[in-house]
Amino acid sequence: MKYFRGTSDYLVTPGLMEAVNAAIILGRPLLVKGEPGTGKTMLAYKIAEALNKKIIVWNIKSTTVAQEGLYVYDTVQRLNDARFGDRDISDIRQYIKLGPLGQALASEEQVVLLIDEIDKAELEFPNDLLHELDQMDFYIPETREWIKAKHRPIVVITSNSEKELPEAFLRRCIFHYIEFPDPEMMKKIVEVHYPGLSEKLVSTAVKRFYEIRNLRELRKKPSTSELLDWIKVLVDERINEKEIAEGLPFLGVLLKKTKDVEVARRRLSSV
Amino acid sequence: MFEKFFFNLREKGINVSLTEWMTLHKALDEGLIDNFTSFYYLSRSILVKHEEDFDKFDKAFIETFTGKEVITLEQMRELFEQYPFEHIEKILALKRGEYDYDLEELIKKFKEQLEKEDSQPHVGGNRHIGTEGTSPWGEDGFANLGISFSDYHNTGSAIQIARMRKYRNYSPDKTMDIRQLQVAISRLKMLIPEGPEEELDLDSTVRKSSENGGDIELVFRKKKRNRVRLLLLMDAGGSMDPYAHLVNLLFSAIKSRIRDLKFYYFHNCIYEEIYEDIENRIPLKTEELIKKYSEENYHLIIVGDAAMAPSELMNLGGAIEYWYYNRKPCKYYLEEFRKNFPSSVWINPENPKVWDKIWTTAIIWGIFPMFHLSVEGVEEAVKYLIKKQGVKR
Repeated sequence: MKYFRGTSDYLVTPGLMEAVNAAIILGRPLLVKGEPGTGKTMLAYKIAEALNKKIIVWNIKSTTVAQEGLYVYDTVQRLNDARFGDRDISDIRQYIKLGPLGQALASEEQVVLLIDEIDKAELEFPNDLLHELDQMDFYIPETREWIKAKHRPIVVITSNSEKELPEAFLRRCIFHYIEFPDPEMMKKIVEVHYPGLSEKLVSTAVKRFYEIRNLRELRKKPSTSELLDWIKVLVDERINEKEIAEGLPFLGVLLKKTKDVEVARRRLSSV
Repeated sequence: MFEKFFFNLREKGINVSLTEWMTLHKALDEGLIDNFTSFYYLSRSILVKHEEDFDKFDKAFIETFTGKEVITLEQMRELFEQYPFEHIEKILALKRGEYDYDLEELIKKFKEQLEKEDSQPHVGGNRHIGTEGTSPWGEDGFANLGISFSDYHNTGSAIQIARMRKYRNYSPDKTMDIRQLQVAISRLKMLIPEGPEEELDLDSTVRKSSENGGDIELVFRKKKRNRVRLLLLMDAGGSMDPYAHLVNLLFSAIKSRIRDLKFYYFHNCIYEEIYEDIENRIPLKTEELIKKYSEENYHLIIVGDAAMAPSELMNLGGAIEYWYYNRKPCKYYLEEFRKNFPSSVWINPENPKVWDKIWTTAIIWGIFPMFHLSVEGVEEAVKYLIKKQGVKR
């Protein structure tokens, strides 16, 4: 069994590593929560990359129902084919389209299934998936077929806590909360993305970043990806450490709301 | 020690289920845990599902394992085998009985607890004093009986500090959460086709097509959407203060599930006017309200403790505000509401045991079907509303 230890450009904390490996070995879905921009969705891609597996993504929307994840029976296409006689319509199987979960279960090899933003769906949605995620099989009455996983997919589920998830569902998951990285971890993340930058510049920028982030009045806190963009701009524009420490150059890269920019300027600008 | 860990977690308010406890066993069997640190992370990942609970987990962990910096795998395995989950289940059942204190004992324990209390604020948990926990101490809790110690509470004619068996209906592990209420409320449905025609009507399509002699004719129809309408009247009187948290839960559950919601406030009892705001500043004529919404087939839910002075309910000029003279008694308006809204219920946060003992509550109970403000009560109330849906006056 191959263990997940992060990838060259995706650093994981020990807690996250334990959780991922437990989910894989115990065959339980991994539920990942955390602030926006902490790399919840990215995690699934990186697990697939590190373990060299295919990834299947199921993006959840407010209108998504559990059935769509399993399969859709395309009656309209079949009616249409009946009308024009292009195909042999007696073979229902060609009108059964497997959804993301269906594909993951039917796959010949083990895949990573990402169920992204499960909290977007209706309240009962997670409960509707309990059987399928537990037993990893389902029945298609139209073709009288059982789809049963040969290899339990590695299921990663992300949530932004917009809605409470049902307890019955939670009990079956392995849970991990990705915390926002601390400054030390953040410096490592920057190093992974932009190797070889001057240590002093990175420290200064990271320090400034946390000063901005910790302003309580902010409506939208900047996240890791915004910091990375910011550092890139600072380097490209050859901004020196003094300007970063004392001013707020290219603040718009970090803060997207006008109100937030005003707050940061008022509170932090010494120039 | 592991049994202790299990109970320490539950004491801190983390309701570890046996499924999860077994998963932890399995993780150990699979060799996933090879050192104490990985035990910490893994047990947290498996047993705790809300990040808000991590702090409680840490406390329980420290409490259980203090002084034991390193535990070997063998020791862990041994300990697990020593305490299989059936054993824990048995002890758990015994523990539940512990919540039946009598009042004297409760106050004694309460004092002891206060002396021991550390300075940190507590939310949740079932030992410490704080808010929203399952301990009988503190406010808004769900133990069998609770003690309220905020002196600003005006509990009206009820016992001032302690209310016996107030939360009897809640077993300590069955706290009411907003989700359960939302699920109960969402049963209130009236599906009406609405919006663009986007759903394939298979039956009509087949019928039309055969009428056409086999030429396919696709028929689409409007999707059904929930258009249930609800009028919610809430008592904002002082005697409701102790239940503010519960009423808030109910209100947010309703608000999140029902789009056509109208809500108004009243103070203790309903008279000629009802109010749009909780401070009772923006009045509306009660009779107009009744007319308008009953014609539009609204369901009606009234939330209140139905406890008031008899004069408030029955007399002219009996209103609680000295400057207000009501020309018709409150009872008249309540009967008007009931008459015009066949689908109406009263939801009462007060313990159902005392309903027939409080004079005014008993009378109002005779006018409206009354349900308790609990998960079960709200479920029953919704069932009643569904049954009466569409019944004409």
